[in-house]
Amino acid sequence: MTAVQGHAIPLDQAALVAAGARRGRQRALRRHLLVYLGLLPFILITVFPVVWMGITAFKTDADLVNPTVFPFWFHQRPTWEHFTYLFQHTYYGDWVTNTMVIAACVSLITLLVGVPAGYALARVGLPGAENMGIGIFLGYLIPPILLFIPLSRVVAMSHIIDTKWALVLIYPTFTIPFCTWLLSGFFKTVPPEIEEAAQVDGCGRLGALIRTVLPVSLAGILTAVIFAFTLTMQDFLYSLVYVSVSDQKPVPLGVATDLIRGDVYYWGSLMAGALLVGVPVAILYVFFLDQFISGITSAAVK
Amino acid sequence: MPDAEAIITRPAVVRRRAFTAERLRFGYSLLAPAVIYMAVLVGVPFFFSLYLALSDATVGSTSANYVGLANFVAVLSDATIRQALRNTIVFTVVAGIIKGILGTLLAFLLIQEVSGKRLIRSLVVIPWTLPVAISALAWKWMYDPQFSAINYVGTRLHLIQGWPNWLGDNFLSAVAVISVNVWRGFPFAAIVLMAGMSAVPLELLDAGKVDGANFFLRYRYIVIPVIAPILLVGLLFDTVFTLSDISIVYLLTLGGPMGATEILPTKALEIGIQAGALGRGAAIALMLFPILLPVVYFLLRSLRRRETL
Amino acid sequence: MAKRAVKQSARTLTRRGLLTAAGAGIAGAAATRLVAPWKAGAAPAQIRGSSLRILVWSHFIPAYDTAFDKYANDWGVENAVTVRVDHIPIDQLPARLASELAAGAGHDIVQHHTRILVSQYHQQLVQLSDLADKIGKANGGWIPMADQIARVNGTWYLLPEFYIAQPMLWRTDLFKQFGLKEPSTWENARIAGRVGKSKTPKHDTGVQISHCNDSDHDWRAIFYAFGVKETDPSGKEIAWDSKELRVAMRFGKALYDECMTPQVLSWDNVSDNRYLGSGVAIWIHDAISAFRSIQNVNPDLYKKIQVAGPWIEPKGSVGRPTPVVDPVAMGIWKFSKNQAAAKAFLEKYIADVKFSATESKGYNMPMLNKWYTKPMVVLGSDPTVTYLQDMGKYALIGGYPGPYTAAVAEVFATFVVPDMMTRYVQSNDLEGSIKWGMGQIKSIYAKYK
Repeated sequence: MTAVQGHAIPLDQAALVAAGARRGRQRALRRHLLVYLGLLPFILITVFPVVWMGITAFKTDADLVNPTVFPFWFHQRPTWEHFTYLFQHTYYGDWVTNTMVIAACVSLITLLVGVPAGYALARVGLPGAENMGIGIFLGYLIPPILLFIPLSRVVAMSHIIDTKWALVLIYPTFTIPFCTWLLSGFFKTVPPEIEEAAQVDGCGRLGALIRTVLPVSLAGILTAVIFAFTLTMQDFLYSLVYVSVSDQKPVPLGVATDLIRGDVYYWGSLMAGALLVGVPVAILYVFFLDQFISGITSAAVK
Repeated sequence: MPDAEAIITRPAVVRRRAFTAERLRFGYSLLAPAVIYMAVLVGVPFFFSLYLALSDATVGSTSANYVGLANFVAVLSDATIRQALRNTIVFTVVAGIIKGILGTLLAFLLIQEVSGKRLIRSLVVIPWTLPVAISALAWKWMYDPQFSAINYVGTRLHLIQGWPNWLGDNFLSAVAVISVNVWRGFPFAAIVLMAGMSAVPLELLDAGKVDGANFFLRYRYIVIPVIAPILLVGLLFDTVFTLSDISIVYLLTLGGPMGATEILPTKALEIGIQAGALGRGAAIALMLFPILLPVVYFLLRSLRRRETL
Repeated sequence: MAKRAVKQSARTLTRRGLLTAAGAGIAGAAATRLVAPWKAGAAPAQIRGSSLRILVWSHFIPAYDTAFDKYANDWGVENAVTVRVDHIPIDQLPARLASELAAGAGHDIVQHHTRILVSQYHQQLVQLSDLADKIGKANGGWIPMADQIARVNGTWYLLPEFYIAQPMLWRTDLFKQFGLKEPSTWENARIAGRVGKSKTPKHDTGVQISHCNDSDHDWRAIFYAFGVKETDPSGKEIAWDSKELRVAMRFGKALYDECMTPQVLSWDNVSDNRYLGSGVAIWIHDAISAFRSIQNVNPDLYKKIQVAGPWIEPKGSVGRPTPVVDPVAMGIWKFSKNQAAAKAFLEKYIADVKFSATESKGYNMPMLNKWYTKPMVVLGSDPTVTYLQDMGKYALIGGYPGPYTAAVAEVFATFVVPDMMTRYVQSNDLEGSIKWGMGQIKSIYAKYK
């Protein structure tokens, strides 16, 4: 009996393992399905307008306003005309360049100003620093609608009105508070030992700062840059009142002002222009999302 | 459970050192650029706006007289502005709650390990990466009374009855405006929450399993304490954006129908700029502050807690 | 390739003008113009070598922008002035103007549009009485409405450029087919809408009852036709609350109930154009840009549309047509460092009604009497729009019969009239809606006392 039993147990175990694996696979499959099913409505909600924008961008105008046909398909051949219009009859190329230049400069200013400030807030432990930090954050709360009239004077005095540099000057007012907060969170994650070691090594305070900054720089800088980029794309009012010259506009303003011409909405080109910048940024997010998430995490939790 | 919380809320190392003069100088010089930048480009203009709100300035006037609180009295006695104030609060709160709920659900789904995760993530963040002004235009086209794509799909799937006039009905237009705000905002809430969830140490979840704690208990005692502060901060930043953003209403409804979607920023633009009464426009925009105060309060509290923990 | 070459060579001129010119295939012509700057001779010597910046709207007839840019550019080449023209959407002009004033910098010449606040802006504008008198004298004087938008205490601060008529655009084929009378009165228009709405397929109509500029205008046109007055002639005493207003609003509601699509509650400035363009509307009441865009897209439909009639504008109970129009004027900021060039340009351009009318295909209505001599440029030779030739005598702007004051502008900007109509059509409470509207109007006027 014992021998049989002894013999039977491995068999049973094998069967159990096989069954377990099958059940595991089934469970994994079921879990996958459930997750996909749960995600489906979200994807539909987020993607539906984007798909609609995409279809609009490739439709001929006559097809677009034909009320009698199924709107989600092409009843005339898809066309590139909206894209060629963007590049041949508007300053779209310039707008993209401007947006890049603005985002790059704004990110740079934000980092130059935000890194030291974030470090001071996180590490130096100054008396009164907290209030100054709060002061910086409060700046983020003041709506542009209240500021744009007085700011006009500042912009004019610096002789950069009607150039993209006006926006480079103004946009950091909302990226600095946000990114200072993010960065100070990053710096708190760095073990103080690193800093102390630096001071022991005789690197001085600046050296300590640099040693603290380096470990977090990739994630921190990426996060700050992505945020700066996203936030600059959301502005409308400042660019509207400070930049009226077509070849100096950033993409959102250029698309929204130069492609609505009185009674005529260039729907196709509008959507094409929006997607050509929105989709690459979304793809960027995919590559940096993990970095980004760990960035926010350390900023918010620590 | 106490153990778990102890791990999560372990105090940050507070280092006390003698503040030498040199150290102070160093610290303040690090802070100075940020403080000066904000003071010059936000602080000074802000105080100038305060002054405008207390004056009878118009767009073309070369001089303005001090009128005390007359602008605020005029503004508060105007029923349409009170409606705009109410709308601003309702939109912000309702949109905030929906964004919080949808964001949480989405975040839970997004942290699951499934194949195609990256593609899915990239799809759901698109609304947040598109310029809001252009998204508003795209939605305007989808709400179009004649060519509404939403109605086309909705009626065929029997989700919608009739052919609703999204931007023409008092209630629906408010729904429409909130929807656009939620649509572009909830992916951000989800990202922030994913950050929060990834901050929940795995061993805590495992410890929870060993304890036999079920999902909801785990959620209640482990997940919430960690992610709530993060969600709060994310929502606060988003709330500030929602409060000051003008483009969605401006491009969708211009405050119509009958002021049903009028918010303080659009009202400030109408009266301060289009009718030229700068002083009253500034007073209207300043009325955002009573609403912002709770935001400031929570933000400061969460910041303070970070300092002291 | 061509585009790039032109773009680079033209950096100092209006890049946009040349760019679009190049798009139209006349890059060569634009380039050769650079050769003969001495030809004009007439320009005062002191402006040579200066630069001039002009801010105008994005014209509802897009081709006009191209033409205007080229016009300004050519003027610049002739007078050795570097000219740059910028265009922004009409709705966004006020914010931009306010910001330029606060900045004390920006453009030299700016266009003031629709809700023209000359009474507020005049302290910041260069006096232009000399030019206005000169141009007026040479052109048979300004039309009556010009005064209201451009002068303060007898002094001219703006030069009226043109106005935008918002006439009846109606489908002759449908009127004939349904056996209807021309929309010479609002009553006829109402009957037409009612009949049209009862047909299959439906041919109803729409006048915006929403927060948009067209709604503000159209309802004033209808109200004035039934004798509504906004103020006394001095502009001080409010005259809105009247028997006439009640008649007009009742008519308006009947119009809405019987012949309009409920979509009008969410329409914007463009929606009625699209309604006409999609072949549904039996008539709309709007600017002729609606019909010009149809001309390109749907020539068959275009042929079936008539603009107004010998009656000019549908009549209500008062004897005269009461079209309410959008005025447009140009002014020079006091902070401009190049006022001489700005004045020289305006002197030429404002008087060049022929250019304005031709290139805008009759959209820009003249502000100068002489140009109403029949046959008018464009309008006189096109039977579809020919009746607009008599518009000048009747054109009104908001505030009628008083002047267009800051209070009137605020009533416009806060959409009191559309909201009063919305209230009424939704609640069917006439007195309540009027009471609400009057409360709004009174409190607005009180602020300007």
